Amino acid sequence: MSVLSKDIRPISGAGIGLRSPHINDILTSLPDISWLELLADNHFAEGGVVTAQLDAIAEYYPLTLHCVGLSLASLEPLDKVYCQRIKALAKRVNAKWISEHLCFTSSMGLHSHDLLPIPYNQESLNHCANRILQIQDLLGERLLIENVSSYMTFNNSDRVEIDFIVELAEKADCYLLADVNNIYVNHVNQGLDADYYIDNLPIERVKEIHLAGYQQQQNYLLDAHNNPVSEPVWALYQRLVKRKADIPTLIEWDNDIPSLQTLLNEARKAELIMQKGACHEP
Amino acid sequence: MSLKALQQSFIQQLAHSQSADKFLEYLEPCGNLLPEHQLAIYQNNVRGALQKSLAQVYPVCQKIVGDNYFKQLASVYIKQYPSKHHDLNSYGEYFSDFIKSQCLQRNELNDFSYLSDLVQLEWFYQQVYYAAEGSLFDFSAYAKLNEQQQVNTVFQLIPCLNFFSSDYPVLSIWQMNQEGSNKHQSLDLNSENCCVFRKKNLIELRIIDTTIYNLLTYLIAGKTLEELALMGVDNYLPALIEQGWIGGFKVKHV
Repeated sequence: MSVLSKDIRPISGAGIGLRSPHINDILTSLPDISWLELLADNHFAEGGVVTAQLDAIAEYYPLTLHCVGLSLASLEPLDKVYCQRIKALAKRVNAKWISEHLCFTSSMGLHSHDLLPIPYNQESLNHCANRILQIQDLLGERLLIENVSSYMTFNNSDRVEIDFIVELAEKADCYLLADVNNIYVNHVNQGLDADYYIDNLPIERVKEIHLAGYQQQQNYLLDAHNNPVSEPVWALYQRLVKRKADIPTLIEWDNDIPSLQTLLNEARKAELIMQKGACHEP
Repeated sequence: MSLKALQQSFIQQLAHSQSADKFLEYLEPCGNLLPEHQLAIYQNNVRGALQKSLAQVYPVCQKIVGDNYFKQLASVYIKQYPSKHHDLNSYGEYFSDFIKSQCLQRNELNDFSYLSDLVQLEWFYQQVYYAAEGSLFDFSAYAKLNEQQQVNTVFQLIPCLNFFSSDYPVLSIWQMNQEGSNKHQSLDLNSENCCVFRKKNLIELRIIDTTIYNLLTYLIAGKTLEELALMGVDNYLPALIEQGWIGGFKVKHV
């Protein structure tokens, strides 16, 4: 295998989200995986087997951290304890970067454990930008902000999601994580223009791409991360990769988790598209 | 509606399923989804995540009462106890008290009076699984204490250890319900003192006798070596240190 060291290999190519059913497999066979992404919130244990396994994984693979609890759109005071836990975890596993979602997860001391959307208007923009700046200050690095799946339309939104994100990235001087499955889910559920979205992403700020599978519900798509990446999402990914081919891409699979090999096959498919995109890149 | 008010209203719809009329005024239909459907998706997602979390923490309870009944219990619990912590692993700490109250209220749970203690055991298992490492007892530092300091010493349990006393044989019930267990003998209805601890990344559950249980209780209460000696339990301390249950000490200033 081509594993070098956690300090030498940069994040590139297609990686997979590290999930607990695969950890023993990975540590036993050390498969050739370009990089792994941790769901930070699953790795806050202070000791025990979770910590020991993670330390071992960090020895062999470059890692990134993906958070769900920074609640960056929340009007609650910033949870500095959470920030410190993220910072400590990032340091411990030598995470190459930290990402979080454009959403809120807590209010009035209550936690949703789900990614809750916000209206896209000036008040949200100002608040989120300030919050991201505050978090970046605490963490000492620029965050990657991810677009979320949304099943809700607020009547006080006054701009489309991609325009909001472009303004936000400028204002907060942050990076972006483009989740192509979320773009497609919102295209179907909310009617947003997916091609316009892809074509208008500030591509130099996009440092990571997420790919996942949705679940078809009776009258909408649920971003369930429980299926292979769908054909329309691969098509949008190709469109994005044609703009810039070398953006590290991650396969996310969180429910009904399949074999490690299935995830690696999906990652391989993404890498092939990246290689083709490199041929087309202007 | 301000962003703050909107978030507060939204989270309350999710936590308490309150009357949604006012909140729905701030939504508009999109695609096939009417405002009430939009909200329902999030309510289902949140409930699903918390139910899944409870099922992961309390697998033996789920096995005993059955998947569907557990889901019912979890739904009621989730309404009464919305999550107040960013860490999902911290969710479910009141489930034991909740089950106790349900056993009193629900006829079908009349024969399950042990369930609350079993749930407590499963909660401790979860806590110990994620707890910080225990340190090794520093014998050389202890040896440097003078005689007066030694009698005023308070011994500290490792963080990855928890214990409790039950009127029921809960650890035996827990063991019988583990995958691959061949323990199917009838149980004596004896009380059990249980200790859950982690050693070299493995969780161990052990029945402890009353003397050790009392000693652990005294240690938690901060009793000094002198006080332990007066109660006649100090001679058990070396065994606890040897097992790695006591990981440190401090000298109480009197």
